[in-house]
Amino acid sequence: MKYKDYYGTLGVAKRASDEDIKKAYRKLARKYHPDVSKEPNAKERFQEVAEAYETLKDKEKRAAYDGLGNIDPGQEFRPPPDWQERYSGAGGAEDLGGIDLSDLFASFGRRGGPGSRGGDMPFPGEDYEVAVQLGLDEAMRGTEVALDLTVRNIGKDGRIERSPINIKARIPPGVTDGQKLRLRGKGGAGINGGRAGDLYLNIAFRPHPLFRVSGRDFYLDVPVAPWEAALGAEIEIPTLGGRVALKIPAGSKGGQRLRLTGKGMPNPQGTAGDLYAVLGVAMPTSLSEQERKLFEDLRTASSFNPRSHFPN
Amino acid sequence: MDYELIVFAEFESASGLTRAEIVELVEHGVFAPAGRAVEEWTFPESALAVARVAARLRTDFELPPASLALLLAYRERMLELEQRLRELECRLPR
Repeated sequence: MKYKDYYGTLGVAKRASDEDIKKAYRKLARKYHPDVSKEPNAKERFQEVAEAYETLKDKEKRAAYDGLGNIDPGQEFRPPPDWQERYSGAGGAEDLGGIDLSDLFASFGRRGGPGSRGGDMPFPGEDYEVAVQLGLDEAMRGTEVALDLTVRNIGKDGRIERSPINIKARIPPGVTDGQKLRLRGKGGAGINGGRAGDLYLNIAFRPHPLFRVSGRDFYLDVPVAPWEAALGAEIEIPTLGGRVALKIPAGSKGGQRLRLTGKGMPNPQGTAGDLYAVLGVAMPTSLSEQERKLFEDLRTASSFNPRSHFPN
Repeated sequence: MDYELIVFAEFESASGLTRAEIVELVEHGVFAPAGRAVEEWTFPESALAVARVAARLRTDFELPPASLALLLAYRERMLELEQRLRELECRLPR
């Protein structure tokens, strides 16, 4: 088991008062809480902060933590031989293989004490929450993902065990970026007949090289030649379902959006999203002599002033 | 996805909120379940995601339901604005 410096995580001294520990936690929780923070690695940082606070806010756990002695953070260690006897709530130190320091304190007091999870009381299983990255094609058509998780199980005696599990989850067609998909009963097993926990999949889309996504709508940049914008054209554009024809109206402008109804993300329970072609008027990088001549003729012949709305 | 409705008992158990907290959050307008008596309330699936956020914020910041309701209203507004921003960014050609 690796040692963690809970005081360092909260940025307080070892002799900090309960009030100082609470203040430090609140400040860091505001900064890193994953439901409100935009900090990178907010979830991981908050887990560290919450784990440290969970132990240091409790007098008995804090005393037991301090009783582990002075150990360098990250260093492998075992609690001192008499540690378990000194702290009545401490979990069994006889078999600490594969558990984390947080597990040791999480099971604190569960065995034999008033907080024990022994007996016949049913408890629901743990909910699992995991991020799933999907390509746009996978999200449209639905897919199956294999998830490797390390989960914590609480035994009848309150002992916490960690075990790797593999879950296959079916993603239905038409999920959206940011959606939380709940798979009922796919979490941890219940205790004493309690219901199984749920599996929550936090869906995130991988960026697509062509399409941008907003809700169920897709946006595609469509470059057109100046004459296609001026005269109109029939062109072909890609969609996730294959190429489709798109009519560019005469007199189209850069930035104009043309909607292809229902060509966005499908919606199993309602209207599918749309695909928007965002027009951009592209210019050739170099002009042939004839092209230059034609543009010069156009300049001479045209009375069009794109800046006519500017004040004189 | 909102096509599944969740009955009160399951909502309470899956959200991590207590019955009293759910009732108070409904009174504050955070959730608008269908049904008259509390036991008959049904919630859309999307409400469960909000309820789980509420339960986490309550535990991690020790917030009472009234503060939670206010915070969730601001969070909802923030999510709407972020969605609007994403939509406007998508409209801009790159």
